[in-house]
Amino acid sequence: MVDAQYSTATRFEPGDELAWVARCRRGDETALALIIQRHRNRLIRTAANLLRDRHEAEDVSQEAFLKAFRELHRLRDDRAFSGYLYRICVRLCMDRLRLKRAEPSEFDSVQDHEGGAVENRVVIARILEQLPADLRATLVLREMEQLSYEEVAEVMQVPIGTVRSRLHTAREKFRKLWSEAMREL
Amino acid sequence: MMLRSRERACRRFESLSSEGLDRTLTGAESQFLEAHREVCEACRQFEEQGALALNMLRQIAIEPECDDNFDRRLIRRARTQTVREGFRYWSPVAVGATIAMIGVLAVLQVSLRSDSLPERRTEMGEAMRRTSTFPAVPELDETPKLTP
Ligand SMILES: [Zn+2]
Repeated sequence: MVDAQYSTATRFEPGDELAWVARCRRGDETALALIIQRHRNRLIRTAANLLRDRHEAEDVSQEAFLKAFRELHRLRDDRAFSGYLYRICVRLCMDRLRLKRAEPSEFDSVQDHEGGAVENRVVIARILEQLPADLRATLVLREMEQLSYEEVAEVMQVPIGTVRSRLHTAREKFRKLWSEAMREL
Repeated sequence: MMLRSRERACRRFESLSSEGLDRTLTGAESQFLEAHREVCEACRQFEEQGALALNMLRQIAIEPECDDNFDRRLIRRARTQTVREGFRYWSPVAVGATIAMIGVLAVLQVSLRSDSLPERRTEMGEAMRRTSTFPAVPELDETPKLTP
């Protein structure tokens, strides 16, 4: 019933979320549905860009929502819910990226693909795979998600100086790997 | 000497061209970049390739379509989670209540048993009292003589 009621696009007023979070604490499923509807696209998009996998992104986003609802009692200020949820999602993605890096990769090198007729999209995805999780996440959040330095710092829970240096290193590595890949093609 | 100063200039160029993506460079910094581009082919190419790479990165950003199935599935999982959490929350209380109930039952049983004790005690008490009413045994001053 809840699903059908809120499946169509809903207009969100600023301040609505504060009431929804409060209702969520009391187990109100309608408020839960509204919160999901409001944040799902952003969460799935960020997770998909970090993980480069739509299905995994949906999976992680669901985990993030469930964790946020489960640990709602830890949130001191309901106005911070949006950032709190986003942070959980990025952290879950980072955990998965670290695990993936620990596994032996099927594509260890950018040059390992068939025939040289490779789309740039695939090259970029492979380059991203070669970056350490921290650098990759910083680069994706800044360049793809267009977050400010302050927002990246808040999401990743690191000082702004660390974001700046990580971003610099990530860009340099990315450029270098891109140039190498282009030379190989 | 010339080579070293060139390397230094190239490093500064790389650094400034990266910083230029996030902040407005000063006039002097922009002038430096412009001048270095004129004289250094490698840096110019590096910058072009870098800009192209970052542009590509922005272009391949995924914009996934989310369907209502996502919401339905999530709400179902949230519901299950709530039930599970509720059970996890209340189960220590249930265990505590059970232990307390067992304790109360045990105390009740003991107190019921102790109600039946006084009868025995009375009997024993009487038995004790009876023995105290026996005539005192006279102290023997001498060994009684046995008469044949
Ligand atoms: Zn140069």
